Amino acid sequence: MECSNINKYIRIVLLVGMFLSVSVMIVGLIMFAFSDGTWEVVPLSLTQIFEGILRGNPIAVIDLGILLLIATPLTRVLAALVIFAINKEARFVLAAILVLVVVGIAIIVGG
Amino acid sequence: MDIIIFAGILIMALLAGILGSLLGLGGGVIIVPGLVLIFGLPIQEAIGASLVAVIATSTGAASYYVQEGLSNIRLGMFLETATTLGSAIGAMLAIYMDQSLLAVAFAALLIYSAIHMIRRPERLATPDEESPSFPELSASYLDKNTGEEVSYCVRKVPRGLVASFFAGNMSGLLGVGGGAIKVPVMNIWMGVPLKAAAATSNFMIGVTALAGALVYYASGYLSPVVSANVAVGVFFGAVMGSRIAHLARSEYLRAIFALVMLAIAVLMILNAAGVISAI
Repeated sequence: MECSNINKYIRIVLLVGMFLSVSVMIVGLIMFAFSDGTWEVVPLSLTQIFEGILRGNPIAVIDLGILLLIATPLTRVLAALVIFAINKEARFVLAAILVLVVVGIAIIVGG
Repeated sequence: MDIIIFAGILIMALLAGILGSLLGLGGGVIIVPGLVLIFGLPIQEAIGASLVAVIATSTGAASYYVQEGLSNIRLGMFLETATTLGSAIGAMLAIYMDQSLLAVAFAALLIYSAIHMIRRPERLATPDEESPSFPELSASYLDKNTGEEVSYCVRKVPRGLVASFFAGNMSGLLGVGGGAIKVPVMNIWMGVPLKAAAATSNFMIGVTALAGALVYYASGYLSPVVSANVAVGVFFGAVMGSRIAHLARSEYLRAIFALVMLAIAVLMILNAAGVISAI
């Protein structure tokens, strides 16, 4: 796979992630601004977020936007990992895996 | 949250985004003191919100730089191993650090950035006299101003990894992107032309800030409403700022803002010492 291809795929991931997350956050913020501000904070877990959205909790919508935002750089690392693996670029596959491991540790240790 | 505070934070974030992109700073340098000094947030919560905003702006800018071929993706992903580790460790330190100590550390960063902004050291990458140890990291891009293809090799990778660790540390600890360290290191030590260094630094920021933000989240310092409010404000501010970026060529504006940053640094220290409190 050519170098321009990795640029193309990464750009698509970044653009899609950015538009999705920013639009969902805007919707959530507008809902929040027009609510009475008494909604409870929802933890960033998928099931609780979807339950919250079904109940019309604006903070759950904002959480979904933040989750999409957080998922964007992660998906970008995953996409690069796949492309490096196809290219058999072992050093860079290793680098991508290391980054994912550190992020995983940040979640576990931080929690 | 009061609607006036809600709107106030949004406006502050918009201004931070505009100024940030005009002056080539990340928004974090403005957002964190703004949230602490004006809105009275605990500094850890301000840093958490700033990190979320940093992810949003760097993702927007990175998609442009990647398309232009300016970001060196292989170099970025290599150095990211060190920045993410540094960021997670920096965030863990911040969680346990005394609020006033953290505020003083932030003031030091403001002073450094102010000096950096006036001096603006731009150096051209020198041609390689030594053979690069990582030929895979060599790259080239088309310089739109000159229409020339610029090729370069990357050197001193181990040194770059160490510096990246500290850049990540600063990001997780203080809620900024860390470009103030990474760009000169890549440019001066590693031989990466300035444009490519800035684009590659930006490319790394998303995942670096993410590692730090997750630690703040897990420790309960990530307020969804404040974070999203700041992220959306800074994001659109940055888009607006890039449209009027030509205004920032004025050295006058840079000098004024450097003074403003020094003043904010003093306010942060006074706030940390308990002499003044938020409005």
